[in-house]
Amino acid sequence: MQRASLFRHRAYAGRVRDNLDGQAMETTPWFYERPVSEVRPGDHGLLGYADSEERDRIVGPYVQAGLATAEKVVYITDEPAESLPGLRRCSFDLAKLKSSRQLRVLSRRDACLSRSGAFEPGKLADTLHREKESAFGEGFRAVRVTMDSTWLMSQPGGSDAMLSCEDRLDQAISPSTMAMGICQVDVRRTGARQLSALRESHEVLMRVDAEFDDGILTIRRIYGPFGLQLRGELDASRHSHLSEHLLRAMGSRSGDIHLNVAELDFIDIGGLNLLAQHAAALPHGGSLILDHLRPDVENVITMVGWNRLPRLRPGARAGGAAS
Amino acid sequence: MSQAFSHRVLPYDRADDLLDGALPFLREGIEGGDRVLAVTTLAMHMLLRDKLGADAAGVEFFESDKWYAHPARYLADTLALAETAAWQKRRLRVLGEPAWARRGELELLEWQRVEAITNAAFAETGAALLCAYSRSLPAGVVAASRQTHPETMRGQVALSNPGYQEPWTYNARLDSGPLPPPPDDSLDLDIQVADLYWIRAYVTDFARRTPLPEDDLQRLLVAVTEVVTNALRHGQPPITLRLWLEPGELVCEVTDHGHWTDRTGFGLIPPKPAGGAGRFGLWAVRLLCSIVQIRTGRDGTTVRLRLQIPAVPVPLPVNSA
Repeated sequence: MQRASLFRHRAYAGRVRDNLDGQAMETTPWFYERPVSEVRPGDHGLLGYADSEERDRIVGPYVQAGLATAEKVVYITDEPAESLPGLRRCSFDLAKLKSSRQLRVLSRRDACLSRSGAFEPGKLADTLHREKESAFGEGFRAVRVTMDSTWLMSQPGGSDAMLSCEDRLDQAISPSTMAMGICQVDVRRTGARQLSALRESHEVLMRVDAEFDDGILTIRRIYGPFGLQLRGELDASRHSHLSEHLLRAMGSRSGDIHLNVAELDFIDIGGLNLLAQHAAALPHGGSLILDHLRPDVENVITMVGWNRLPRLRPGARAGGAAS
Repeated sequence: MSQAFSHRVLPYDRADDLLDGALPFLREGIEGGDRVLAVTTLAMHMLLRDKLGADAAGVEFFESDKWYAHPARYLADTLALAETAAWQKRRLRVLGEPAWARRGELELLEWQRVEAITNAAFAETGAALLCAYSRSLPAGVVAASRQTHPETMRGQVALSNPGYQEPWTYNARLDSGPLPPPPDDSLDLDIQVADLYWIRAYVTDFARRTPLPEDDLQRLLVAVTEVVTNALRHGQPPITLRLWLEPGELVCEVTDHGHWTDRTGFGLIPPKPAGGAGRFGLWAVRLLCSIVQIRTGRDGTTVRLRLQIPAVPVPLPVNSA
């Protein structure tokens, strides 16, 4: 199995390019999607989270990876450090990290609010500039910044202030070889227009890390709607992996489970059987919903007959917004 | 609902003969509250409507060409109708005129196989099926119909067909001869890896040099994956995949040295949808391909998948890339 891995990506990329060009252009026109473990200096990422699990699965690894590898972490928040994602019940010595200035938990007042408590974009930019400039002298090779901006988006005028600030952040981070940032925002408390404006001011969208990826099949948890994203090809060699992660997802939520299959190039008969079996086990008549099915894959299911796959049903159409 | 299943052939010379046999059949169903279908040519639709008058409202008309487009899909769809009707305590009653014209030799065999399997597949549904066969069809087609239908309608009377054969016997006889050998220039691949990703990449490369549409390619990949998965699980090595082109068809064959003993493993009868997500692999393969040919014996097992390739004005060279 391992010896083949060199070739897998190449062959895979070839098929994906042939099949998915149009679709990829449609759904991801200008930004990159980046799993958190692949975040790199110069990334100014947006994390629009649909629930706290999604936030924790991105911010947690982001913060931990920095602290584990001699990078400085700047977290702007009014929460205490020990309750932050990645720092809860962790093995790090937070006091030591703070005194070495590797972990900087800055209150909003110190980082970006005026004396009267109003958001001050200039102050935020200055704060980040200062932290970035000092990092090298402090012995850190890079700086990871993060802040949850949801509070700001819900203030009058806050969203405009935030957007004007994002441009300055982008200018500070994107050309940098040592700074990276993740702007967190709770999509449930943010308007659609604000969200799309935020997307435009970030070139990277943060995603949780895949739960499974062998170069042929990728399985990733998705939120809003909750479920799994399946990419690549699913056949008998990988049924057990899908089962494992699907069962885990089913165990953590009630109701329908969505499978985003926009980039699932292949599913075998056994795979369809497997999905139908799991769908039948969903409590309270919940369904497994296949979102963004490729037309040629849907054609196969139609021919086999949806009626043979009870409680498995098509959801959002191909080419629609990515979840 | 405890009516007996019937499957009768109605040979006819002229349209009047067909009407003589079909009208009482349809009227009986209308009066009995059956779900009544007339699957014939458009011209016959008009004649039937004319003769049935107001009763025609109790008949659903479908065109033969579309109804009898694909053997396995026809069987699945019609059987589903019969089972639904039976579940509603009704009977499905079909006057059918299978479209035999313009069929290739292999296709003819598949439709004759369907006629035979019908006797096993519909037996418990209580459906009444009357199949009209024109005597102008090739002699072999009409003769075969007497082996695949338990009874012949002569006027208003149903007579037993002395030559009728038990469905699985008839089916086995269709497959008694060996398949013609693959051509010398077939593209062969010995399958040793368990990861079928590679097999699909290989089949895709081959198919991309033909005008096979994207939807059909996906169906081929699902079918090949299923057959190879079966061979890896239940067959004996060596397993070989072969690909070649025949006029208007892409052919993909999987051979192994195992021997199937279970007849039901041929996937000819659709599994019950209510049976949960059971084994419907080979049945699905039949739905996905144009024709599936299976031979199994002491020398090994061969599954040959055929997909029609649409005609294109300029044939693409297969060995160019």
